[in-house]
Amino acid sequence: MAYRGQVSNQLFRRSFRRMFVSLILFLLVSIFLFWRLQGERAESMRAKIIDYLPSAIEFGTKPGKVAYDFAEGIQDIVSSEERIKQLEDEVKSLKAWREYARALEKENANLRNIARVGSQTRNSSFTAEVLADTGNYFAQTVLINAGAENGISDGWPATDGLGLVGRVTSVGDSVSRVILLTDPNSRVSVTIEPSGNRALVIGDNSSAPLIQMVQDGESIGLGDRVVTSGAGGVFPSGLLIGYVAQGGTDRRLRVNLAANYRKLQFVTVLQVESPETITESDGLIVAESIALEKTASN
Amino acid sequence: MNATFGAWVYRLTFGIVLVALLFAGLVPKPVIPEHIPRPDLAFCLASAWILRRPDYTPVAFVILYELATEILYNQPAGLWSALVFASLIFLRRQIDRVRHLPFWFEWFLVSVTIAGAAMIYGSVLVLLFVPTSIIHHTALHMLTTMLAYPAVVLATNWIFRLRKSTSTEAGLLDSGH
Repeated sequence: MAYRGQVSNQLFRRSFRRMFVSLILFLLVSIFLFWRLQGERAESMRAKIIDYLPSAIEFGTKPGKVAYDFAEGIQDIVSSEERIKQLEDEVKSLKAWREYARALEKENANLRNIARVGSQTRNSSFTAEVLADTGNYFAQTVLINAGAENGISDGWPATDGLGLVGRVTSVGDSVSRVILLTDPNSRVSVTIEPSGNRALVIGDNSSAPLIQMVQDGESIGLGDRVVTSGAGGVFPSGLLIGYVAQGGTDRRLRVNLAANYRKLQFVTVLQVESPETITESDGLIVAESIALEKTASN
Repeated sequence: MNATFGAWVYRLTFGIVLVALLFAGLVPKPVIPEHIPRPDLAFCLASAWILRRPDYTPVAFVILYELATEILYNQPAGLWSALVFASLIFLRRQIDRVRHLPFWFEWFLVSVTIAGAAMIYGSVLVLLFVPTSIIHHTALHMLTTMLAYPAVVLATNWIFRLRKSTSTEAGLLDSGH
């Protein structure tokens, strides 16, 4: 009797476990299907979930940050002499640039006086801290600790003061995700100066994104500036991305990014005025003719 | 009493290691793309533990870890978690087969499991036209995970002092706790 009881107990456990396993599998697969079929809703849910986590992420990554900074500090001490020399050289060249900039500033002020051009109104911006590095082999994104509460919107560009870093892709209340220029899904329409060539800068999971779709490759030189073109209305024009380089084994044109991806602590999200949308139909001939057609057909 | 206490200590340790792994990946560092994908250490760890002491290995923690990484890292949600779960359940059924065989066989078995999971992952993404570049890199990711396995087993043996169980305890598992 006792033996039979044990057997049936075991059988019960086994079938219960099997049910439990299939239930969890079903649940996980339905999460995936939901993600695949309801992409936008799933992504907004993802943003909402992440929105609950900033303090947890900050708390949890603290030990790692401390350890990382410590290791970096040691490295700095070891390589300090070399660094000092490097910085001295840099200071020298910057001093020359400063003089040049002062001269230009004067000239600019004079010219503005003559032309009576009001200084352009600056768009507002918000500076946020990088909360977590969510980049891996497949995707290059970071989470920043600012969101809709700080007035940040989807699609706005993020810079680190030196150059463009990427674009805000999903916005929660207090956390948003920035997709970096190195992400394989990142595509930016650019102008290459001084030749004025239009091209696309395409991330490919390497530290220097590709330059593709160049109109006239002949006129591009190494070291040319790559700035956003403003085409498509995603980015304002004229944001510095980097400099043309020829990289790697494939000798393709790439961008050496101006932004310091090695030390990305703060990013500035620039406000972009949304492109004008037509709300009223008055004054538009097309709308009127459509309205006439409608009344005619009725 | 003492034995169950020990089991809970192991389960807790397992959970803490997973949480540490999750946060270690998120620490802000140079955001320069990697040339070699990071292995799925949680998968390795869970495989190593489940083949040794399934009663000490809360599968639920692994699934939560995988789901969290998928959500945080902007990846397709749920699919890899489901495959990891299925793999662990599969491995748990092979315990009796592996117990008395040399490590090479265990490594082979785990590698085949990882390869199977990665292949299903890649093909499902392709079949459902998921617009990502993940597929091209899945193979490399699979390789690094396979190569990381022996190291994780070493850590399991030396740091956590987890050895293969010889008792019948192996059959009594709880995935729910």
